[in-house]
Amino acid sequence: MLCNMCGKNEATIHIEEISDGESKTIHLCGECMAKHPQLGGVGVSPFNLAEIVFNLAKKPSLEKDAKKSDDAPEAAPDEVIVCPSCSWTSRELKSTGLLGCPDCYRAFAKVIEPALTAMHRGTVHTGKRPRTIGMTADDEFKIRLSALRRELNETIKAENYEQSAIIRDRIAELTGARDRIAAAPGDLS
Amino acid sequence: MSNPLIAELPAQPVGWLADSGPDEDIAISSRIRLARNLAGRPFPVHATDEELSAVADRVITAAAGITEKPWWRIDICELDGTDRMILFERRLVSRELFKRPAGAHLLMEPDEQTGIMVNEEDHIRLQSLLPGLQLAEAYEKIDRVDCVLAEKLDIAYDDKLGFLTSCPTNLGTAMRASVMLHLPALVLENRIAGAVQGIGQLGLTVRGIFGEGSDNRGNLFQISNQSTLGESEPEIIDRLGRVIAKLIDHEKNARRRLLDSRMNFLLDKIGRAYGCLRNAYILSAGEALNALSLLRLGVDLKMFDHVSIHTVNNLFVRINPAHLSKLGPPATDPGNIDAARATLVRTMLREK
Ligand SMILES: [Zn+2]
Ligand SMILES: [Zn+2]
Repeated sequence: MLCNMCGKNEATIHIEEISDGESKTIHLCGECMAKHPQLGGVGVSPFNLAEIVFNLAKKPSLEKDAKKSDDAPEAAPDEVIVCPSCSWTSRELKSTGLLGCPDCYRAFAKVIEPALTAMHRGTVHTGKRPRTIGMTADDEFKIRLSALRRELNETIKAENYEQSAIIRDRIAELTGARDRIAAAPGDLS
Repeated sequence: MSNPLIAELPAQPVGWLADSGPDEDIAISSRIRLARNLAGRPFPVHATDEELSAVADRVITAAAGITEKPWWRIDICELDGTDRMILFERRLVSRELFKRPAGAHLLMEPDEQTGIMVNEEDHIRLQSLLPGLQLAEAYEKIDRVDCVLAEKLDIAYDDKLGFLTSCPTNLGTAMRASVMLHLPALVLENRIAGAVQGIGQLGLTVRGIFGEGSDNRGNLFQISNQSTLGESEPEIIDRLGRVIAKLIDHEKNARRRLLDSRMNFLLDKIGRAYGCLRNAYILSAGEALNALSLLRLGVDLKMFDHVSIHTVNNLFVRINPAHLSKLGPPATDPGNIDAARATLVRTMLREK
């Protein structure tokens, strides 16, 4: 078997990574391995090498789903979108898997959003938010609730009933939690 | 020129390998990483040198005074290759940080357990790295730093997508929680693939090396969350923690089975590894790591009263090339790092 990096020498090192239930194996020759001195390392190092090698290839999930959205009627196959803030293009996004700046998420929403379901367990953030000065718990509640309602509208429009039910539960959970807090005596100072 | 702060590091034990800790014999270390970016500025990969330096100035100013002891501040761009690798081998930085032509910094606490990489793939990568199984503790530690930074900086955030990151695979919480597990008995029993199967379906990733036979490098496996969007931080940590607990159980059972019914097989593996470490004059990093893994298993199983876990832990770090070049004996055959490694290992195992 030939080395995956140089394609010339016989591969003598085999590195396996299991991800998403699938395993991928990289085969390397001694020479290419020597080019990465970190391989001598403590556990972490080979993992990082695996990352480097996989990153040479395009991010598979993003690429796959980016193609899917190309087929969709709203995006013509070779339409190149440019971010108005940083001039990063959708073509660069697809070849690197990376964005140019935070505003790119708005510019490339059409390409990114369909890919999110393949990458993540959900499409709406439910975790920590940066606490800007002066933000109260009530503001936070309103912002999270409106995000969920927006998401619910989208899933209903897309006739995704399963996801809609999940979001309805989340909304119920959120409003329920707030009622409980409001009902706790002396808790609201 | 060598950085004076880093000159002290190689001889010190690393902060993430404790001689005793919660489940530390199987769960080596727990790490939480959070990615954050400044709003309205290009991500590091796409930024000019001036933009990188400007971001670094803002982050370093905002981070001042957060921790009790002042941060050690290390300008990565000024370091030579060996000093960079010292930081890398101690798991304080990633290689991505070395790619930046300007503005790449590491802020870290002197105990090496909390750190901030500036201008890695994202403007800010917060890291907390603790020994043993301590995910919740690691999160608490880094969350405190994150909260203070968020008060002083305009962080890129979207109500629906969460924290905006350079790579969309990190969106949402932008949190990567991971535990490094040492699973030698499962590997010896050829049960490792079965044990880690199905983890992908849970939205978790296993990184490990299981080549043929002796290619297993140290029997170390890193389990982390793959998905960052759609679940809160405690939900992610909880789910990961439950899978880790199960894997620890599997490994404990495998160790018990080997002790009960395959004692000679187990003793032979561990004894040969120890013999190799005590007597070899040429030792590659991979061979050393595999043998150290088995020696560690022997120490965990109380088979060695003359080798301490402290020595094994130190060796795990010191056999790496950069540490070896700083601490190891001068190679008699110049450039023969494998001979220097063998000498270091023989010497350290003779000491009590
Ligand atoms: Zn090669
Ligand atoms: Zn942009």
